[in-house]
Amino acid sequence: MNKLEFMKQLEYLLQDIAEEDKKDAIQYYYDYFEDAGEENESSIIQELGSPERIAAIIRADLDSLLEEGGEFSESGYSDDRYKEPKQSLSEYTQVAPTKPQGEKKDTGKNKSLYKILLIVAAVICIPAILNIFNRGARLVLSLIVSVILLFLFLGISTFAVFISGIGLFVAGIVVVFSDLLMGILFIGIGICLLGIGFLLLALSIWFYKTLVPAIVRSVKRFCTSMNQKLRTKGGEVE
Amino acid sequence: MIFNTGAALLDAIVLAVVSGETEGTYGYKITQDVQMAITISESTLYPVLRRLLKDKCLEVYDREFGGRNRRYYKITSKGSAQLNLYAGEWRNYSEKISKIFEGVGQ
Repeated sequence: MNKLEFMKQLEYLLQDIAEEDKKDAIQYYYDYFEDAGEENESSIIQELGSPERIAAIIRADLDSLLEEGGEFSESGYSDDRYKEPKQSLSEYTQVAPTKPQGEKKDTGKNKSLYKILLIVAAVICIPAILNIFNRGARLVLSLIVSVILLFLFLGISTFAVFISGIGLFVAGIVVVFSDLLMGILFIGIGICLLGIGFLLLALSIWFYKTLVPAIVRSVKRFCTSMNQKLRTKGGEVE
Repeated sequence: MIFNTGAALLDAIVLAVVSGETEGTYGYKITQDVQMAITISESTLYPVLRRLLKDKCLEVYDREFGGRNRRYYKITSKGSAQLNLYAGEWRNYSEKISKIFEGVGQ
């Protein structure tokens, strides 16, 4: 393997990580080969190991697994997680028809054991998970309902207070000719209601004009950021 | 060397090597310089440089060299402060260890 093959392979192995990270890594190793010169090419390739190993280190770093673990000893940096992978790329791409039968059976047994354990765990956990989910759903639902009610309530109650204020005021004027005290009481209450109506009007204007758009905006921002996060995460995992 | 080098010490060594070049230096040279002090493999340094970049202790720029763009690493003021801290810690640490070894095998 020469440096061109090495770099091509590395680029191929990194094709699904973020473009920026890939470019940085490729640039680094390209520079490295160039600066080392042709006479050191083979020794560097031997030292680096396979492109698979380098790609694994780069990926692990992106997942920030490299923060801990790994030590430098007399034989240089060593980390059990980055020992040379046993299979090379060419072996990966073939669908391993050469695997001995016994080995296959073994993993099959292991898998079925895992399945049984999973089922047992699920049976134990599902009621608890459902309970949490149920409670969460109820909480979310009641929050949504109360927000919707608040929205409707402000507008409707402003309207209602206004109408009843005007109604009482008019009724008071009619009544004042037959019953002076009753009429004055009605007119007074009507004026009070109108006052409250104006206060509510101011409040709802502020509410619908400032608060609601702000809430909508923040919800939108949250959604897009979640979306982006999911997308980049998906990109890394793939 | 039979003593292990932890991540902090490696960071410190790399920062010291990079800070020695006012114009900045590049990946291969950094590896060579670090290898004068400790044994590291060629694949070790990229993650370390990335971490130092992420922590804003280093910065990069590309400059033309021999018909291609070469990436240079330069220390930042934050990196210098970090290096000072590391150097002080190291002096303190190595002095104590040396004191304990005083007279041994002489």
